[in-house]
Amino acid sequence: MVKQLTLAVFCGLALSLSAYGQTQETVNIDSGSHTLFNSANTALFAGSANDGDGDVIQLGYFTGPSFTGTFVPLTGNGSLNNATIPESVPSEPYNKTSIGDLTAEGGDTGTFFLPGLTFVVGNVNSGNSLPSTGTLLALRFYDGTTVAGSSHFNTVTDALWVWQAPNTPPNNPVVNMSLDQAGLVWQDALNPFHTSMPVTAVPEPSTYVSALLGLSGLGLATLRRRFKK
Amino acid sequence: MRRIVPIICTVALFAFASLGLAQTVATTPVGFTTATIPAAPSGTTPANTTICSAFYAPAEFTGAVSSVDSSNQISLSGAAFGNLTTVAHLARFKSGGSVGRFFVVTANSATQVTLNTAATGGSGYTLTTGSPGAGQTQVVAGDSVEILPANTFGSLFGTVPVANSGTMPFLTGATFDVADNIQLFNGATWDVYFHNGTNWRKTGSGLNQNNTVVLPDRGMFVIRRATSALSLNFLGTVPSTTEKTDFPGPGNTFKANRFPLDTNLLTLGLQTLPNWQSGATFDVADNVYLWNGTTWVVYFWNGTNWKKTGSGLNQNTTAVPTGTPFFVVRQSSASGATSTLTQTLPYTLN
Repeated sequence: MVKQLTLAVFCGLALSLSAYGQTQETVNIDSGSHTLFNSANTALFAGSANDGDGDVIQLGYFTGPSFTGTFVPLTGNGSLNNATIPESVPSEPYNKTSIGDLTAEGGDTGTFFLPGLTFVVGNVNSGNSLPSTGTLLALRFYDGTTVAGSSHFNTVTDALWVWQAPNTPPNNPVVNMSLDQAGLVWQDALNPFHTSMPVTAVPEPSTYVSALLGLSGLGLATLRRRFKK
Repeated sequence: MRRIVPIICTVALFAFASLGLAQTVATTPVGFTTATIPAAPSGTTPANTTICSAFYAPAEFTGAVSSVDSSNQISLSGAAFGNLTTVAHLARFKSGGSVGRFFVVTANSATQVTLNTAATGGSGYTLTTGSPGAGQTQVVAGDSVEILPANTFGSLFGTVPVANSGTMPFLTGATFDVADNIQLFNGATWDVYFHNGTNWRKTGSGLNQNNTVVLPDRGMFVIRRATSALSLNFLGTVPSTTEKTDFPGPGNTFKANRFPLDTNLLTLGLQTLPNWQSGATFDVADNVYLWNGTTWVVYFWNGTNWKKTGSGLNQNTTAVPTGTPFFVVRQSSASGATSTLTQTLPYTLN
């Protein structure tokens, strides 16, 4: 019921107002009362008191269902978005979201609190790689301060973490994502709140598909060469 | 960002002309606030802000209820009313069980007023029955009532643009998308108002909206397309009694901070409403949305403290400054008296 009401509020004028003004959507993310750990059960690194220098956390989405396809980061290491995160000290770009952010909002070792991640359609700093309406958003966190320097990760989503159609204020949607929510679904469900999945050793399903396609292509090429002979 | 300069609550005392209507003319404390509407960053990127006014127009009549005539009609001792509907008027209860409530006058005789008690566009409270809830406040003979002009787009902002030597300061335009907008939430969606250079208009309507009522508890969402900032002065009589504001649920409301005084989430007291739903996370709780100049910030009561999505901090002292409305999303059930927030006067009037 409340979801319907909220949609009525923020999407009510979608058709009439989207023609003019800044079309946007805000996502608030937090670890709630939980702490995130690495595979050795040590709380993830928060860096210094400065924001943006802890272990990587990405807000993003999968191009396929159920943790399949490519994970596209909207924030965090690897993201194309570099707008400044409100309240961050020192000013932190979207592509540096990390464990311990934001210190001013209570972020510390193994936790994160990042309000006000606003994505503006068409904006070069915050409008890159935006998902289509209805896409499930997810949070992925690593055990290193860069993706390349990490050994393990895990990803979590929730049926309520749905990207809505961006809109002009006051109809701009707000998506709230907290690890306190009841419906969390983990990529590695056996190890929730832990970076348990090897970064390189276990390719994602999409990588399997790519690899299979590549092998198939190789096989076809080999057959073609044999046929020519 | 909007800056509010609240001031003068009990300083000046004015006696207003009564237009020949009033038996009693009271001297009432008046005050003003100034709201700054920020400039649009560019011609294609508007600035957005929220505003509200806590002030009433001066009373034209103050008297007592002589009889309650029906569920939506009262007679007033000593009244000699002219027309109270061509220019919209409010009846504002200043004592008794309905103190702090206001009703739009929909018809009147010399001594009797008919009040809008409909849930849509009115208070949703009748005067004599238990509808919509058995515990509702009611009205009895002897209750004190003020009759006063309602705030309208014309009275709050003017009707003739500054460019034409008037006082209406907003950017005008033939259509809403090239003019400044003022949006009012109607319970389901936003009604969009703009000035077309001649009159206030509403999208989807061909009618003049100069006299459209902006109820005392309404918040306004302003979209500024001009690239210059704007200062708006709200002037009027200061709230002098308890104020009542309804937050029915399940449902959404965009309500004003009723007093010209800074407050905070805890003091505002929404968490004390009957049935107000608390929860460990926003999605199982009733929510309060505050506009921060860029987007909505979402708050919820976790049973002990106010919390903000995306923050681990206690938000009890989060400011709700003078002139700041707030959007309430209730998933809990509340109607009638169970939806009413009663705020006592936070200052003393001499």
